[in-house]
Amino acid sequence: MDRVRHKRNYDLHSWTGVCLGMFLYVVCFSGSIALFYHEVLSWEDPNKRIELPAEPVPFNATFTEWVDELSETGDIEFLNYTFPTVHEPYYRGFAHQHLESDEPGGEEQHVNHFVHWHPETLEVLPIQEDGMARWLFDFHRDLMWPTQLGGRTVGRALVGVAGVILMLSIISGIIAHTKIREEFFTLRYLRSVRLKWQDTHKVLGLWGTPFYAMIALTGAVLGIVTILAPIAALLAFKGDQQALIEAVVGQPPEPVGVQAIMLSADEVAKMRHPETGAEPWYVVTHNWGDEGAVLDVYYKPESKLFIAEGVSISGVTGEPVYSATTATNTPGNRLVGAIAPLHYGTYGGIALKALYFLLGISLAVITAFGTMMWIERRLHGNEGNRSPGFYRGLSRLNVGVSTGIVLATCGLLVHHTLYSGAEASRLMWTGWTYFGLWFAAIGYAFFRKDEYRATMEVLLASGAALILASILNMAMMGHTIWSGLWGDGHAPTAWVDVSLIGLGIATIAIAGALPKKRAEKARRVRSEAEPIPAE
Amino acid sequence: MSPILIGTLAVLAVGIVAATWKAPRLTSVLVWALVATIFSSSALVLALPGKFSENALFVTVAVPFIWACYQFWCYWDASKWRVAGGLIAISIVGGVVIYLIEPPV
Repeated sequence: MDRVRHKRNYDLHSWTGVCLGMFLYVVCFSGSIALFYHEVLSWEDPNKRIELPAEPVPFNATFTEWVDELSETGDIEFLNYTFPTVHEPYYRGFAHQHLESDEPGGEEQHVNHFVHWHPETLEVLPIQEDGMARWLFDFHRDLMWPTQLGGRTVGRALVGVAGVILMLSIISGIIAHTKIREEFFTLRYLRSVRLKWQDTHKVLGLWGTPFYAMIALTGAVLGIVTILAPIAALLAFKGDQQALIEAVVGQPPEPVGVQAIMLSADEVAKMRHPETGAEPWYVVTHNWGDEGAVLDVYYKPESKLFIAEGVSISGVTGEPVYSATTATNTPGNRLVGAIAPLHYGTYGGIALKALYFLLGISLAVITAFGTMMWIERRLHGNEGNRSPGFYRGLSRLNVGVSTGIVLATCGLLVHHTLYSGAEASRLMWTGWTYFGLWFAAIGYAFFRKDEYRATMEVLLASGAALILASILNMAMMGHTIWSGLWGDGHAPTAWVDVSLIGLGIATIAIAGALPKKRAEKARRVRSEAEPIPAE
Repeated sequence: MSPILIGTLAVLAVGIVAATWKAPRLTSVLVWALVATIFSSSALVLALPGKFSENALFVTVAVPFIWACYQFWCYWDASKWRVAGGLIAISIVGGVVIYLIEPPV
């Protein structure tokens, strides 16, 4: 590769990293946390700490009664039910109603109804409103983008753009490496700060490339597909959205207009998948109460690289019927269906998620190191033409953003255990706490005027918050790790506590091992500075 | 179409033309790579043999990769005008294909 092209490629790698490095860091770090959404659910909500019974009691009568009561208040547009699973060990009903206003010209209302039933007693379980787990998961998925600025779709597309930038960064990064074989095994930890960061950036980047490329592509698909795919498809259909939906998704089942008694949910619970023998997971209903009703019964897939495998049956007789919504056994559907499990590591057990977590954190560390190197070269090297104050400010912002999101995430766990406000406001206060802690860390990085100390102290606070959250949760909910793992307590919750304490100790240990100050402080003049080694 | 919308679009178009003239490589990375991605993806969905829904699913997965490749091309190619011209040409060819091929009924 000629020198000019190499420089341009290197510039591209630097600028994608510097302009969007902090954003990439946020997406990578929040993604590593979002992996454990299901595991955190029962830790978050004591009502979900239920042992999954071997034989849940029949629940059709209870479910039908609930649907009948809802139907009296208005038409149900969407209805589904879920059978008890390990992560959500209760029956779950969901209905969406579209209510017309009684007054002429009044506003229509869209109302969602959720209900959880105990798998053995069928009593209605209290539902805790969305809070910490939802926030941590959705912040990665769509940045909790406010409705006033375009809503979650915009946020999701922005996260998708981060995936594209990461892909671009990976391509240009690989090409920038002219001595890949040597760089795979070069880690000079006892030399200068810059070399230490540079080698860590390169070694982690090179060894993790297959994972990072996969996570970038799947993340980009999950994100920008929400905006770009509809635009591209709509262009192909010259703007005819209805024709587009019919061509891609197919026609939904039509109602017959004759009332009929629905197939019992308890009968559906016994229907094993015709090929894999898997037990039903959840059921999506079409035209409930009509003779033309269709039930899409979804099963945990045999091939784990798929979210769910569906089979459509008549909602009255239980006979298999064709439905475009479940006829997804095509190469294209298999490919697209594999994207989310690949991205979130749901196709393996908890060990795979732990590996994803480590690789995800390492990707965050790479992006942070990339930005730090770029600043370091300008603050203590011979590159850049801005004032030292500018680069110092950038360095503090980088430290504040990078450590602030760690503190905000750990602080949310404490906030959750101490929250005593209204359920309806839970998510709002979760957001305020999250951003409050994050901005406080950024402010602290500027106020402390020492990036090394600020990093260490914010990480210490984060580690302490993790341990405190676990202790508070045990004290307030009346359980212990011992009873969860060896007694009659809830084992998954105890494992979360063990993980939090372990991570807390690890974070404190890492903070303690960080250098307290930079070896050389003064900015050298250009003529004295040693040449910066090329990538 | 309302005059406000026409005015907004006209300002946007003039802005993109001016930006392309002033900084072709940067505008190509930010704007033309995206436009070319949308048009070429649409054209691919229509032009590829096979069922439309299957093509749409495969192209969906390819869209981010196509976008990243176009952006990378902007920095790989030595001539800044060849990249901008190439991406605009891809968009035009994509538009012609979309215009000529009827979507499936």
